[in-house]
Amino acid sequence: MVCAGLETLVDNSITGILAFPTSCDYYFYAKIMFAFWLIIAFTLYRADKDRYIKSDFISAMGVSAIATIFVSLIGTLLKIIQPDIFITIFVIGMVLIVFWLLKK
Amino acid sequence: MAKFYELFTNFMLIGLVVLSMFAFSVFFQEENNVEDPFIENTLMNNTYHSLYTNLNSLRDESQAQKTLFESENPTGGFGTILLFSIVSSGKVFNGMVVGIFNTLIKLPVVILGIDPVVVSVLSTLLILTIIIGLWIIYKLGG
Repeated sequence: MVCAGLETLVDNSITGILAFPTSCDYYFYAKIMFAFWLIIAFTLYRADKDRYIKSDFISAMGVSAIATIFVSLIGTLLKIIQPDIFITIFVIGMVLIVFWLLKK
Repeated sequence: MAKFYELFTNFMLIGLVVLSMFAFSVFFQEENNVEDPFIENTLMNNTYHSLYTNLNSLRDESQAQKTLFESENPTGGFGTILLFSIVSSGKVFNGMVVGIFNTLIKLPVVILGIDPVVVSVLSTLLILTIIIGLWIIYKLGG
């Protein structure tokens, strides 16, 4: 994938710079959010593993889904996450939260 | 195995958590004047309002069932007490669980493109659990 150089950047504000990667990869921040979710989930799982004998990955996934939804909500405010991507993140997060709460 | 009370509590909790996430997201975007709020999506809007209506009716429905339960005169059965209002409560409360399930399942089906077969299997599992749970309540009283 070839992206345009930074010299083509029109909006020099923080929002414009942050939104720049989406000009060549529409799903750039969706991937970032997935990585964020994965990192939080594994961090929570590892922390639980140290604390309890039996740790629970589903609850770690559910909790990190809530965090990811809120971070992507802030992303919609900064216009770096498009509404359709936010809806997808919201629905996937909701499914994970439902699994977590049903398991309880 | 199939405890109706736990199933009902879980579904109400799920409904409340999802509704609060919806509400927070909607208010957050409204307060900050986001140009293209996600609630403008028809499916999200319908789900939000349907969930709100479902949970809002909970109080009135449970109050009606409580009144019905209180008004009934217990009849002595063979080694037990018969209360027919529990059947009515079962019908009403299982309707609420199925209502919340049907409201929430639309989102993954439309947005994520989940196959209807998966939904069919999940619905069957849920309905079977409800039937067995209610039968245990009717038979044993809890």
